[in-house]
Amino acid sequence: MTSDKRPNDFAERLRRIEESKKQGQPVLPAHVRKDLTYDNSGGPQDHRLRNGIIWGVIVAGMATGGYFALQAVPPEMSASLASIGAVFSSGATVQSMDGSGVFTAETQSDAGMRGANLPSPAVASTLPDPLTLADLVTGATLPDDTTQIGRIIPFDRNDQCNLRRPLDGEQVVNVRLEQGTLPVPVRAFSDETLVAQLTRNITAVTQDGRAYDWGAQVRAPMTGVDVFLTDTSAPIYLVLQNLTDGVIWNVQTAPGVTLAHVAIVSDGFSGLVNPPDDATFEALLVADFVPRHTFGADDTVRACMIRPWREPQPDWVAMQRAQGDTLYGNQMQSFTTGYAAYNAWYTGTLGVDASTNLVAPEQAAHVLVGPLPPAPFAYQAMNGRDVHLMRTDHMVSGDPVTLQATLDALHGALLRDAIGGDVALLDPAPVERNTP
Amino acid sequence: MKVLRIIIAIVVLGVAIPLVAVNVWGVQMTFWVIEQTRQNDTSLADGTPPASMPLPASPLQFMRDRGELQDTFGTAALTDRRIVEVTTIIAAEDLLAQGEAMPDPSRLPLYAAARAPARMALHCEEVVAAFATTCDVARTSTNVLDDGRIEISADLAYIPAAYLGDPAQIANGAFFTTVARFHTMPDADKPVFDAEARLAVMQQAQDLCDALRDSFGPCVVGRLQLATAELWITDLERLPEGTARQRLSATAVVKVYANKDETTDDALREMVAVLTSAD
Repeated sequence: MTSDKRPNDFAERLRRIEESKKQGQPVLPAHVRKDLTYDNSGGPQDHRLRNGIIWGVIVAGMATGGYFALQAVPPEMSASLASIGAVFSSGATVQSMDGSGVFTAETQSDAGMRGANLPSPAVASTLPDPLTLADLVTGATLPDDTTQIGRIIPFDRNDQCNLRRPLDGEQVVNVRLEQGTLPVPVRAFSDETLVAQLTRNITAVTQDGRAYDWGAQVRAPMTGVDVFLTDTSAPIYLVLQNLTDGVIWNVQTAPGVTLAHVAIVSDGFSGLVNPPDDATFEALLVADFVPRHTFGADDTVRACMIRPWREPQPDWVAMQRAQGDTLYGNQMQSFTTGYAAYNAWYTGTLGVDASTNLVAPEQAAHVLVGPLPPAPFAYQAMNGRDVHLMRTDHMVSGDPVTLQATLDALHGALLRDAIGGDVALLDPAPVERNTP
Repeated sequence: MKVLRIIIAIVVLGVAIPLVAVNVWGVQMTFWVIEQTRQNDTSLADGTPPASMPLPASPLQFMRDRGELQDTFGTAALTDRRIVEVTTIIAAEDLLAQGEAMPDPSRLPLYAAARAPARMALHCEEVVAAFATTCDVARTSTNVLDDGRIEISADLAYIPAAYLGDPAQIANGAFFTTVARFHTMPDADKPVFDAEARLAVMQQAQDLCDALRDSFGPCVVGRLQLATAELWITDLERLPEGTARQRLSATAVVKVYANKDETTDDALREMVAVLTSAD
């Protein structure tokens, strides 16, 4: 005999489960819920109005604060923020030419804050229709981080703020932009920049008590731009100008074009892939003649004002915003006065206006100056070709790994020399009293 | 529900009550400003010096004091409440090793910044010899002067070797800070900026603190400034040849923790004046 009823219990449970399946799952009324309030007798309270008011106040407060914070942003920072925003914007490339013949970008999502941003394969030009690289050249092999160039051949930049005067019969053409967009395997920077970087790194240790930041290095970013010349009517005097980091210009001529001379005016250490026709070239570094820009610094016409400002155009986004926004208004005022001062120097030096035969996007990978060629011509890649570079203390090239190793070695060697030993000497061990 | 009540109690105790206390303190501050302004107006009209009214104590002052007490009188760690600040001017060659070539002038500021900590660690030896068990270079800054020499300033954090006193024994305690200036004579009569003079001043500052501790309560030399005062060329011309140009200018900021009902800033200042007058 046994009193074990487990088989019967199990059968009973199976029966209940089966029954509940037939009846379906019980559904709780919607208003029955777990409530932590003391009085749970009534139905749920409707707090939508209260919550709406609270959120309204929060959003209004944040909007007001944000508005006044934006108003307080200095114009130069505003410009940087705007350009960051422009970099992130993307879209189809649409170009047009305004009445003055100056390249402009239609106000589409691709428009940069201060003119068009034209990544490869789009080509900046003064032609009415959009162009791509395939319309101009064949066999294009664009440079990248791993492109192997020939030698870097340093050349001395001009020690006076002048350029060779265009000869009779030479045609002046201008390319003026902020920076290029092609990657190039070249870096150039001065010892002064390296010293300043290491000084910042060291003072972060000795004054702020941080660990030494080995990753804080001079990066010296450079970009590349292809310049295609197609006008065969006269020898070309090419003026290449840019406003920010150094640019490696790769000038290429269509059949029948004669390149007479290249003049570079740049804010960074720029260079030139060996030019066609053995054209002569020269370069001006802005920092040799003009101090680092601060707001209003270029408001007056003066000698040697060689910072290559671009003249604001009506369809720049910044120009449109300048109508009702003081920040953009100030920025465009700065560009306008800066361009006037630059143009005064330019006109006095070269004898023509700075807007002569000008292509002036904000950023571009490829620029066409001249008419569309009758047929695409062969692209001249950077691979294996010598690069003429404004002379400075440190000029290096190589793939990313090689470049980084070179930069590490440069930083490490000077750091060790400066410290007179290991980096641990920046934070000496505490001195303890010797107790017997 | 019980959990909810506990949460509400915590919020009331932790947030609401301190907020109310701070607001009460704000009202007290307002009344203090009104009363102080009234007294200033009265003293201006009477031509008498204005009375100094103590500020109302913040209700959260005890929290600040607790951390400051630990940093000031705790001897377990180096803190920025106890600093010997040394400012020295040296020739650029003095930064270099024997036979080392002088760097390009454009690199000299970098070399100075990089070598200052190791250089100023030598002064830690003096601090330890004078009145500390431990000394560490907390901060350095450098400046290349027009004549090519280098001015280096360093904050040397230290742990005092002397007994500082026990703040826990002080009833109704509060911090009092006073400044002691050593060598108040003209620069030409100040001691030469050398190790002997620096050690002497450090000892002097510690002696001063010991005396204040005996009279008021726990005392520490909060910041002892040992600066280089350079004689002008015109001064040197009047002095015998070979007279040392660099003299020691020393100032000590001394912190005392004392019963606020029994101590006044004036009493502290008077005692410091008496103790340093023999200098």
